[in-house]
Amino acid sequence: MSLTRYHDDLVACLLRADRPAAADLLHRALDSGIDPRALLLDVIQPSMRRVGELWSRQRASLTQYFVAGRIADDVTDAIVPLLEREGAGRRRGRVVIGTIAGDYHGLGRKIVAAFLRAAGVQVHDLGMGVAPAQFVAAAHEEGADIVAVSALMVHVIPQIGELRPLLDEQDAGHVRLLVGGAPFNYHKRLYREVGADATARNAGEAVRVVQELLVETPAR
Amino acid sequence: MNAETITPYQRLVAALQGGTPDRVPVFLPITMHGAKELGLGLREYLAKGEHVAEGQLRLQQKYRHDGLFPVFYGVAEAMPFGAEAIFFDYGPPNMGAPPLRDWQSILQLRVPDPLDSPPLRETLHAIELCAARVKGTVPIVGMAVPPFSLPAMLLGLESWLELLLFGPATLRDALLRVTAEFCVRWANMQLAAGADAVVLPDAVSSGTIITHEQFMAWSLPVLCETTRRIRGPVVLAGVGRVEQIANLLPQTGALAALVTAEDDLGRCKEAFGGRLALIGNVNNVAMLGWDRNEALREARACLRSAARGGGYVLAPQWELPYAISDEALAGLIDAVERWGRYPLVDDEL
Repeated sequence: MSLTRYHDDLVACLLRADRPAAADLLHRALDSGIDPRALLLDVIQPSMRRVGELWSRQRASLTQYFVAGRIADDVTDAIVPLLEREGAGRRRGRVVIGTIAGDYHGLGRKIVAAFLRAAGVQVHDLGMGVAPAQFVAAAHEEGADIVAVSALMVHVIPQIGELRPLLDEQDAGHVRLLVGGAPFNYHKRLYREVGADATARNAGEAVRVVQELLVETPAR
Repeated sequence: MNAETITPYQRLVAALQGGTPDRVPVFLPITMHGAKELGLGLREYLAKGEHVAEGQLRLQQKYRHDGLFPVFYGVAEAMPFGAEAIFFDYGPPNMGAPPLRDWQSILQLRVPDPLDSPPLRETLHAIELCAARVKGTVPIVGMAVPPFSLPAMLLGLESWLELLLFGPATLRDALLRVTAEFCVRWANMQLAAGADAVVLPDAVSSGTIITHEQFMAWSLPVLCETTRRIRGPVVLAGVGRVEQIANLLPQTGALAALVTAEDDLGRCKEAFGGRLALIGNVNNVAMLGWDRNEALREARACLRSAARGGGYVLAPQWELPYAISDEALAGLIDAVERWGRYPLVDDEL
């Protein structure tokens, strides 16, 4: 079976929100001798991006995305360690992620974290209720390239605005700030107003944006 | 109708019944701004029915919109189940840990009395106070979180999605029985206290969260049954996108549906086919950065898409954030005064 066929079948599994079928498909692919790296780069990541695009065009729902996030977890567990053992999938980039303090909605963040891990990014998830100073301390401690902040509620936005100056003070502008969540999806200019470098409408887009930011990030 | 004598109540009812009143009505889901009018902090304001009733009445006088919304905050409906509200200075309370720790807790769950929640008791009081002042003149709209969305508060959204996707249907159905009963009970209490209609904000049923097929299988049956048992007009609020399920909503028995800024007003109106009035869909988050002119422009675009033929109410897509300016809110009303008078003048619109 070709990689294209695996890709198409995986997209179909994701859109049916059928996690067992997706897991079965990936295991069959590995058992048939497909290189794990090719599976990750040519099947899994493009499939996730495809669901992300459909989400952006309002053609996919959160349940489909949620299952895609679980499959991303499965991939992280099953495939990324294989790549690391081979040295072929060395983790690219470090992201500290969290839901800003005052907002108790964590699902979007978890899905983004799963997608990033599946894309080979090293993710340190701080969970919910993270104050700006905690983001900055964790970014410094982990040597993060990117701080990713999630928010669903509008009233927490001013807190996100506190991050940029704190990050600049701590790491002299090395750390990029990525923000995401409903307020940023509904208000296109908002990410700039809070001093972020980028926003992403969904987890698939977050992977692309993180990869772009990593290319731009100055060497530490 | 005569613009000199028509009341907000007559205006809204005419539009919800598919007609053309003197102008397009405006509904503002405005729950927090009353605190500013009364010079109170949010926590203090949201502690008493007297405050909320007075705040709603003053806001209606100020903006001349066509309905009161004496609703406190969504978390209040999870409080009889054991949830805790966490307050903030500049936004609605969030919920602490979900009261149901795992799926097995569903088996012990009983339908609580809505009056076990202090903010729900105060909500009823606020409705009664509003009704005593303006019943029959200004519509009073209550809110009940519908059966399919309430579990996202009781279990947390992640656990509710897991139960729907991977868990036993028996537990899903047991939970829906409890949440449906609670929703019907709470909605009917508000109607009995003087509310003219009840909004059901059904985020988890929206196309943002579930697919069309999942909506038909999981949510639509319980939503239809709930609507049937509520003894008054029901308005659905998508909170998430509804366009992909718009053709199914008329069968719920609701009177109207509030759609989001991501939905196309024209396509939703067409899908409703005159069987459901259309409400929406000003972008309440983008409004944070708007001045009066931007509000006028955006409201005018909504009117252009949906006002022709009546059966339309201009409204933000959902609850208005606390930081939205007075001039942006006033701009919505100015827009309907300028371009939303029936008969519409197409060239001006």
